[in-house]
Amino acid sequence: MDDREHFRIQMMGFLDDELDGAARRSFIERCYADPELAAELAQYRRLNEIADSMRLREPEDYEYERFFARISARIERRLAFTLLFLGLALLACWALVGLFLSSCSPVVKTGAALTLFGAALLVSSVARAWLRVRRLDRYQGVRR
Amino acid sequence: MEAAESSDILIIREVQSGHRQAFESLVRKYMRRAHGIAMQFVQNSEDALDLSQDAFLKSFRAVDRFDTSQSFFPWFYKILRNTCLSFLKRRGLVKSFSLSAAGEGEPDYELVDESAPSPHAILAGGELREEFWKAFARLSLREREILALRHFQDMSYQQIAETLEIPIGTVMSRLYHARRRLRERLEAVL
Repeated sequence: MDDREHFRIQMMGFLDDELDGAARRSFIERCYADPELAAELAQYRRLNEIADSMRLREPEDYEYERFFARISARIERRLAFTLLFLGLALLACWALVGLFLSSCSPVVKTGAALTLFGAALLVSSVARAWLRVRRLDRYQGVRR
Repeated sequence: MEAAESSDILIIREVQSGHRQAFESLVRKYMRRAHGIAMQFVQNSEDALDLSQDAFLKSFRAVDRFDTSQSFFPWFYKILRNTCLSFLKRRGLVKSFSLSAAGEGEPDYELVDESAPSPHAILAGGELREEFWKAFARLSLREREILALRHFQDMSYQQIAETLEIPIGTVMSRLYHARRRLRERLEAVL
């Protein structure tokens, strides 16, 4: 990095009032000696004024009022789904064991077993797909 | 650690010890800032709201793993940033990445859609405002990020350095490259 480039980087600290006393004084002296850099400084100062005055519109207050309620609802829903899934899994195991110990027709037993096996396969397939998506390379699809 | 940060840590400890409701005060404290940051990535208020909620949700789930010797906001910022980047990638809005002019090793991203935020997202103003947002939208994500933290979030170099986990020298250098590109694009109005 050449000296002027270094000076330009220092210029950012000067504009943002982030230089200490000695660095600030040395910067000002250098600026007096180099009109080209002084002109650049004026442009950057104007740019900073413009950038400082820019604001994007914020959501209405009612959006923020609902903000936490939405997060809370999502936390609750997630917990509800977990409990529901665990409960169903327990009930399914209980039903399966009960069914096989009962004196039902083999057709009913086979039908129930196939239904439960199908449901388990479906759940495991969705879970694996979800895990695969989570493990995807974060930079995949980004051209280098 | 500053007073604001230590109060965050007290809240986090409360959440970690089972008082989950305490998390609400962290959300209320940072939700506007989180929305503002997400806006710089996605430039759409509805998406920014959704993504900032996602980030809070993720941080809530991960709160037990949070190291209370660290500050909360930089940790949360990383979650929010990754959430926004994942969203942009999933939607195919990230065009490419290039190594920054400053020669930093981490990738930088450019957006497919370089149009300015929709007019309703911009506070009323004249031509200058429109020109600014058009020029801003054409910057890389890293450039937008550093400018947004400095100008729209009013963060000091020290705060930016802590949030992005980079040295203060790198903050200055990134600001310089971002402002130089913005200046080139706004030359006519400066």
